[in-house]
Parts: sequence; C-alpha cells; structure tokens
Amino acid sequence: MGFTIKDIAYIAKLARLELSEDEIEQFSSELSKVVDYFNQLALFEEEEKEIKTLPSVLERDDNISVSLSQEIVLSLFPSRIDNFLVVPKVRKEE
Amino acid sequence: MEFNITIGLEVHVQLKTATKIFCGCKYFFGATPNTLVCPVCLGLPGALPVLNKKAVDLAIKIALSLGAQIQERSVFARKNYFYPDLPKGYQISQFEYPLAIGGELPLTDNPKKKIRIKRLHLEEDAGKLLHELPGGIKSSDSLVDFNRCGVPLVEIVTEPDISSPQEANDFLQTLHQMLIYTQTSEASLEKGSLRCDANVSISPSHSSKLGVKTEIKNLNSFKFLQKALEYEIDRQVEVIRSGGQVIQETRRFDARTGKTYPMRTKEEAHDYRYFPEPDLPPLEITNQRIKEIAMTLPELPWQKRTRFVNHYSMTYNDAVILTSFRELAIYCENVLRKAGKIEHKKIVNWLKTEFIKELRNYKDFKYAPSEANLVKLLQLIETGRISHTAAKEIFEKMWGNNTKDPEQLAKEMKLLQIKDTTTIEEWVNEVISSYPQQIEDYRKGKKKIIGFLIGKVMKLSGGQADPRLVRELLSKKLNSN
Ligand SMILES: [Zn+2]
Repeated sequence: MGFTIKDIAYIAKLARLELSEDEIEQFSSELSKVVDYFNQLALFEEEEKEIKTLPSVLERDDNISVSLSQEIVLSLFPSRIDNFLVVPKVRKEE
Repeated sequence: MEFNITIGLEVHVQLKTATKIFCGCKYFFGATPNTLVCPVCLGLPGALPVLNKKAVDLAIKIALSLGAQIQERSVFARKNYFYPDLPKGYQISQFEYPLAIGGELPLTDNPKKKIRIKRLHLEEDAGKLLHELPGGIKSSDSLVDFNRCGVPLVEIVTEPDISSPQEANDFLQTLHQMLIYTQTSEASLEKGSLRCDANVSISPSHSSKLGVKTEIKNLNSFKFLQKALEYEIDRQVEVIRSGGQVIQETRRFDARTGKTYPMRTKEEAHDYRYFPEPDLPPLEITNQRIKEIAMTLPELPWQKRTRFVNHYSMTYNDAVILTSFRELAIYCENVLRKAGKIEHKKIVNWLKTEFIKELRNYKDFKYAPSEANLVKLLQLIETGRISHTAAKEIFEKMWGNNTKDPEQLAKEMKLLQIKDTTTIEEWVNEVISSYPQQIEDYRKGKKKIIGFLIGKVMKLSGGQADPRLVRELLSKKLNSN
C-alpha cells in the first residue's frame, strides 16, 4: 500500500508532528512498509475463530485504591495555579 | 413553509461506582483538583487499564432497562485526539462493537411514542477544563483538573426519532427518572453526572430529505436543552427562509443570551482514527450474567405507571405524579394496598394533594408518617369520625414524627367527631328550648331555618359533633312534636 505525500502530511498534522519535506518523503515509504506488514498478517484470517475464543477481558472488583499524593501530582505539572495544571488557552471566545 | 423537526440525542451518564473504570481511584464531584488521580488515569507511561466489573454491571443494567440487546462480545477502542483534558492523547471508548444496540424509551407525556435507542457503549470520562481562574477571574490560559479522567460513562445514542424540543426534554426527564429508579447513576445535570448533546435538523414538510444538522454540545439542564433546541430550530428556519443553507457544525448554548453559537473546531477534529485498544481484550458477556443482572432490575417508572392505571383505576396523569420517584411510588402503593375498602380515588386524591404538599415542605421522605398511620387517618375520615378539614390539620402534625397515631392526635386536638346520640340529643334539646321563635317559624314551614339551628348545636359541641347526626336528630325532634 502506498502512502502519498498528502497522506503523510495529514497524519502528521493529526499527530501534532512537525515534519520537514524530506521527512515526509522518507515516511511515505517507511510507513507503507509497516502497513504492508499487516497485509501479511491478514493471511492468518483463517485462524480468526481461534482468536475469538481468547479469554474475555479481566474485570476487577470496584475497590478503592490509594491515588497519587498531591505532592507527586503537582510535581508533574510544568506550570500550575493552585492545584490546577496550566495550559495554553484552548477555547477562543467569539 | 412548514418544517419537520428531527432531533437525536447523545447522552453521557456517569455510573455510580466507587472507583473509576480502569483504575482504583475514587471520584466525587467537588474534590480538590488533581487529588483523585493515579498513573493509569493520568496516562503515565507503562500504566495499564483494568476494567471495573461494577461499571460493566451498571451499564448492562441500563441497557436492559432500555430493552437493548447486550452484545455477547464488545470491543474497547482508542479514540485519538489531542486536548488538554485527555492526558493519554486518546479516550478508551467502544466504537465498532458497542456493549449494546437497539432498545427504546417511552416518553412520559405521550407514552405511545417510543424513542428508539441506536447504541449504548462504555467509555471513560475526560478531565475538566476551566477557562477562567477560580473566582471567575479572566485568564489568558486554561486550567486542567484531571480528577474526572477515567470516571465510567455510558453513552446512549438515540435514533433521530424526537420531533420537538418538548419531546427532547421529556426523553431526558424519563431517562433521568429511570437512572434514579435503577440506582445506576446519580444522574445529576448540575454535577455533570448526566450530560446531553443534541443533533437537530429541519426540512420542509413536503420534502422527504433530511435537512443539514447541527450539534449543540453540553446542555446541562432540562430547561437549557429545550431552550437551546427552540432557539436553534428558529435560527435554522430563519436561515432557510432567507434563502440560505444550514451549515453542518457544532454549536454551544449560552444560557445568559439564550442563543447558540458556532464552536471553533478544526475540520479534521472528527477523524479519531479509532483502533482496538491493545491493552484490553474484548469484553464477553455471558447469558448467565445478563440473567443475574436482569433479576436486580426494579419495576421501571413507565411499567409502574401502566400497572397503577390498571390496578388502582387511577388516571394516567395521577400515575405520573405518584411514580415520579421510586420511594414515593412504593409508599403510595403500600397505602393503597393497606387501605382496605376505602375507594382508590379518595386515597389517590389525598396522596397527590395533601401528601405531596407536605413532602414539598419537608423535602425529605424520612419525615413522612408511616403508611399504616396514613391509612388510619384515611379510615377516620371514611368512618366519619373526623371531618376532611380536621384530617388535614391532623395530617400536618403527623409529619416529622411518623409514629404519631392519628386517632390519638385527633383526641388531643379535640377533632374527633362526637357520634354519641345521647350527648348530641342533650345539645339539640338545649337549642330547641333556647330558640322558641325559630322553632315556631320552622314548624310553620320556614324549613331553611334548620341550618341556623344546626349551627347552634355545632357551636355547643365545640365543633365536634358529627354534622350529619346533628341534622338527623334535630329534624326528627322538630318533626315529631
Ligand atoms: Zn486513577
């Protein structure tokens, strides 16, 4: 499967990645190779039934465990006001 | 030009669990920001989600209440987008294979109309963003509280079956009532445990094509939902009438102006690049589990209403009032069951007027008189031992202390009607000898004067004589001689 320059630019934008034109060029062939690998995996389609009999997701009981201490949480924030993490304004007023 | 209105709702319901959906952090509204978080819900590298069984059970309970088909196998998926309230950069949700599909919810005002449910799925809530500083101070930044990250949610998506803002309001109210009945959610619009987005489009009545829809986000009260839709429909009508076209967009409602405004969203915002969540195998739900949960379902509000109408021959509107919440419905039914021969209509009247009036005053069911004591009171009226007016006075005193016996109270308050004929006859004789002129007038044919004489006897009895007996004894005396 071939990725066009346009595809790569779009994916990069969604992923908030700033790529140079050279990098876009490079990824269009590299990402194609990765995706092609999935075509090989598709050959295992026959065994799908077996995959479906995998055990269901494990579920835990609704018991409370200790959350992180305030000190640790706040130390993770590059910038804060009171107990809040500060980020650039995300909603523009109209 | 007439228009058809097409509305669909997306409702988010926070589930009533002790902990979050994928970690053991507890959550409650109003906690100190960023204190109910851990590596899992903060999306720190290497942390792995573990599904909360209770959240799944509650979601199944809601799905069953709506008559939805629980899927044997549902799959968690990553919904990818960048926003500061989403520390992982994706939300764990369900996409292609939701927990349940189908189902319906009957409206309350018009129970014949059922709004079909398209799908119901489990997901995690995102954090909360503040756009101004605490205290309402303008800020050039946004503030993030991650406490809400990972709170279990059920998203319920309706088919576009709703055809007016009132119906949308009705749907949300009925859903809210069901969630409270089933104890699956706090379902508080104010606290954000029930949130609603609405899709709305209009199209000329003669056209079979659907119009372009807009989506109004975050309607956090029943009133706002209705108001926002009313405004948005008027706006769309105006756009079309003036020859324009409605643009598909997301809008928000401003409660202060009563208007909706476009929200700036980037054009590729809806490309979420969903893929199956690699950290969680598919969720399989056995029939046995569904059966067990089905057994915990209470009778649902709309089922109770139908049964009340059929069993207790009350009107549908009365049934709506008496089933407005489960505790009230159970109370009313107990009274109706225990009241023996008293006509249902009389009991229903008492419940929907006197009882509800006091309940509004006291605001809490714990102050209500016991069912048995209310039945006793109704029997005192039924046997004529107290008047209807006296009963109201006694009933007021029965609140706040549910062991107060109405008969005892009637005695203390001197409201028991005196039905002893000897006692009443004494008062009758006294009145007859005190008003010879009036007696003569009566015997000459001025029959109306009996009202005056009854009044005199009642006064002598301190208002306690049974007025029917007084009239009976008085006329007997006046007509015999
Ligand atoms: Zn956590």
